[in-house]
Amino acid sequence: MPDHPSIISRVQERLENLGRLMVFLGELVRKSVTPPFYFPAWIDATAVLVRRCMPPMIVVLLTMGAVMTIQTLNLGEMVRADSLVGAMMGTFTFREIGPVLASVLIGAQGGSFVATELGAMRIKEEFDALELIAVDPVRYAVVPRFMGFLIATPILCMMADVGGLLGAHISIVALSDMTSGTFWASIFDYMQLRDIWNGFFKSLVFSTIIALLACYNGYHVSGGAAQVGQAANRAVVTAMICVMAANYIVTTLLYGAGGSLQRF
Amino acid sequence: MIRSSAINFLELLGGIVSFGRRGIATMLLTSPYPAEILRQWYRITIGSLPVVLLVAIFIGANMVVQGSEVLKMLGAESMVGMLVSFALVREMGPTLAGAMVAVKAGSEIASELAAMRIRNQIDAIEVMGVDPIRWLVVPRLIGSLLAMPILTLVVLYAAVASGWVVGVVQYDLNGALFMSQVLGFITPYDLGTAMLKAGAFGLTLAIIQCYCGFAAEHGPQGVGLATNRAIVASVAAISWVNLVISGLMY
Repeated sequence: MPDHPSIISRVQERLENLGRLMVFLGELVRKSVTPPFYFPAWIDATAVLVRRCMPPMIVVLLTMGAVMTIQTLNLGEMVRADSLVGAMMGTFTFREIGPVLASVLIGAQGGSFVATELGAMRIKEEFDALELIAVDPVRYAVVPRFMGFLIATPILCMMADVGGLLGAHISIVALSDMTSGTFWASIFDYMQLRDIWNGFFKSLVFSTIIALLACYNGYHVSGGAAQVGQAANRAVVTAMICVMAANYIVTTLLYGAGGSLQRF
Repeated sequence: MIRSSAINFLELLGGIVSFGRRGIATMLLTSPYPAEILRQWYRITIGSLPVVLLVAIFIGANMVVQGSEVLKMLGAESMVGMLVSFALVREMGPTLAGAMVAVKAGSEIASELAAMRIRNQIDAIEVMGVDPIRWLVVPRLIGSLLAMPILTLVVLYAAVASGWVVGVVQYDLNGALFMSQVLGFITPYDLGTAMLKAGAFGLTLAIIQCYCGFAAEHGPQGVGLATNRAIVASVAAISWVNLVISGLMY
């Protein structure tokens, strides 16, 4: 019955896909560390990603920072700890909001863009053409985009952190009687350098996931224009779920060691 | 470059606003197609349910880990339940549901409409004398308007449940205390605002997705680019709407 595949065959199909994904990851990693390299293409891919992801990210992060301020001020009032607002904001921005929102937006914008681009190249049979002139399409088209994600992410994550704090700063100075100096002082009192590095590390893990899924889904499109859209959709949806799962795991590994996991 | 991208942005904004005005006017003024609305509502709800559920579970778990660590710094570890319910009901629940619906169901809407556009099916509908806004857009608007509050509730339940499990297993929290803090901090006002937000997000993202689908360009990249644009624009719009509603209500 092709219409209603049994659970076993569906599980089998998922596992096969996972296996193919891992093989593809191996191929990408192998080809990104062995020559020939196409470095100009790497730079291009990075620049495109940064340029495309930056405007929506700054918009979203500024508003998120402002919303967080509104809510943290409320919370601070409730538990009578107004002075801790800055501390909470800083820690949460660097640890959580910055990397996670940056990755969500890189996934939404960059992931679907790259999947679309590669899918369109596949539909236009550009990969076959490249192979015909003895250029490896994975090296020429896919690896630069994969590396572009990895290079662009720390940059974008830093912009996200700064954008979030800036939004928080603007709204906190406008809404409460806290001054700019108190805000920054309370941030720097509680923030540790570790938080920033951990944020970068997290965002690198996320962007590897996003890059892999976007490249895989885009590269393996078959069909027509509608399938390209579906591939972009699938890339983003899978990336979101995997990023959130990875977020929980990485957070637990980085910070949760004080919990009962330490006993094991 | 900055100038042309600013013009692009304003064009997109203007297009969305005028399209949204047309969509909402058609929604309010003409009689709907109930079967089609039901079908879209079902599709959006069921289609995004697995994604929303999975993401909510991980977010709830992550929130408890992160919240415990930060609160430990302030010496208030036992307040985690309060933090979770506060953040979830007021912000994370609706926003997360909105973002995930935008990513899953929304981009499906955009790519579906874009595919119809480049195959000239939308023109064909118009030629037959059927208003494409009334037949294609309005059911999707109402469908996502009705689906979002349900999905937001799903997010809240799933995130609290997974947060409870993580808190009890990983952090040795008192489960009953956690639940009583969670429930004690949810007020009807917060919940109502969350539902209001959910509805507003649903409407906004459906309008943007439909617009981007309708405005798709021809060529193999057209559908993909329309989808891409739709996802980003609706995530950005959700954050704006969120700021406006949060600013007004709290």
